[in-house]
Amino acid sequence: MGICDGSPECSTVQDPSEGSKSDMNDAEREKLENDLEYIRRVRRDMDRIAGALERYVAWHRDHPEAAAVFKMFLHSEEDEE
Amino acid sequence: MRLFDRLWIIFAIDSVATSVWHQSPNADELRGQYLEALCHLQPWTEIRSEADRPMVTFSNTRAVADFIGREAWNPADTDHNRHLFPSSQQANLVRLVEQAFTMISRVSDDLTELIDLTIGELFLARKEGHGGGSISSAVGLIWLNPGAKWDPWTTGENIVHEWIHNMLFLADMVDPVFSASYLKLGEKSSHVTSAILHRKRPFDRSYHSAAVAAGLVFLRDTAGDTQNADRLVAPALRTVKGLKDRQDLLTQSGVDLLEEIEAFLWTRDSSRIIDLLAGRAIHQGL
Repeated sequence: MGICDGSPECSTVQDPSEGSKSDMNDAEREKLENDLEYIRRVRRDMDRIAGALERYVAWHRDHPEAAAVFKMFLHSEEDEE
Repeated sequence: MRLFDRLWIIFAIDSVATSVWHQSPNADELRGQYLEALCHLQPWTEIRSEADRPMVTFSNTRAVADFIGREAWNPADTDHNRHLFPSSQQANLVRLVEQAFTMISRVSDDLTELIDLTIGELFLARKEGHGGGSISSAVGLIWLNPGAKWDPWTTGENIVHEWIHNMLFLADMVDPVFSASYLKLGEKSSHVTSAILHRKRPFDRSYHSAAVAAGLVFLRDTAGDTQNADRLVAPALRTVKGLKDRQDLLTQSGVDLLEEIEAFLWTRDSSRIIDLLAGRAIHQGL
C-alpha cells in the first residue's frame, strides 16, 4: 500500500530525496540509526499501519465539517485546556 | 506511556514516512521525510520547517484558512490582519520560544530532541481569549499565542502541552486510539469530565486532557514544581475513570494507552519517563 500513487497531484510534492537533511552530530545520528534498525526489525504489519494512516487522511479530507475534527485550545490562564 | 517513548515515536514517524514514500529514510532524512509526508497527506494546510528544529513563523495563510474552514477560528479573527503579531514584537517572541526550549531541555534534552524531530512549524498568531491550540487536520504544526504574562517556563509548558496533542494525532494515524469517529465522540452521550476544565467534554477531548495532564505532571515534577503537579493528579484520575467506563469508544491500543496514563498518575514515576524519552525503556506495545 502506498499513499503517494504517482498521480500528477502527487508529483507536485517535493521529492523526499531532495528534502532537507539534518546536520545532527555523529552521536545523535548513530543513536537514531540504531533505533531505526531496531524498530524496523520488530515492526509488524506495515499494511495495517498504512491502512490506519489512509483512513485518518481520508477522514480529514472527506469531512470538512467543523465537528469532524479534533480541536482543542489553550484558553485564559485560569481556564486552560 | 508511549507518547513519551522515543522508540515508539521513531517507530510512528518512520512508519508514516515509509508508507508515503515507499522507501525507508536514513537517520539524516527521517525528520525531513516525515514532515514532507505530512505536507503531502494534509494538502489543505501548510506546514513549513527548518532542517533540525521547528520553524517559528508569524504568518501562515493556508493554515489559517483551514482553521477558519473547520471553525477553529472565526473569519473575524483575521479582520484587518489582527491575528498577525506586529513586526516590532517578533524578535522578542522568537527569543521567548528559544528560552522556552532551554527550559524544556533542563527537564529533558531528549524531550527537546523529540519535539524537534516531530514538529515542523511553531506558528505564532493572535486570537483573543486563546493561548494557542491544536487541530487534528494540521499534524506537525503547533499554533501558539504567547500572552503578555508568558515567561519561558509557561511557554515551554504550553509547547509540551500542544506537542502531546500532536503525539496523540500521530498515534491515531498509525495505531488508532478511538474506535468511533470524532462525530460520535462529540455526542453528548459520549461526554466525560475533563481533567483540566473539570466539566463534561467530548470523549476525545477528555482523553486528550488526561494525557496532557499526565505529561504536565511529569514536566512539573521533574522541574521541582510538585505543588502545581499535585493539583493535576486527582482530576486527571477522575477523568481516566470516566473514560474507562466508556471503553466501547476505544480501541485496544486506546485502552492500553489509558492504562499507561493511569499507571503514571498513580506512581508519578518520572524516572521511567526519562528512560522512555531516552529510548532506554522499551515499550511493550511497539
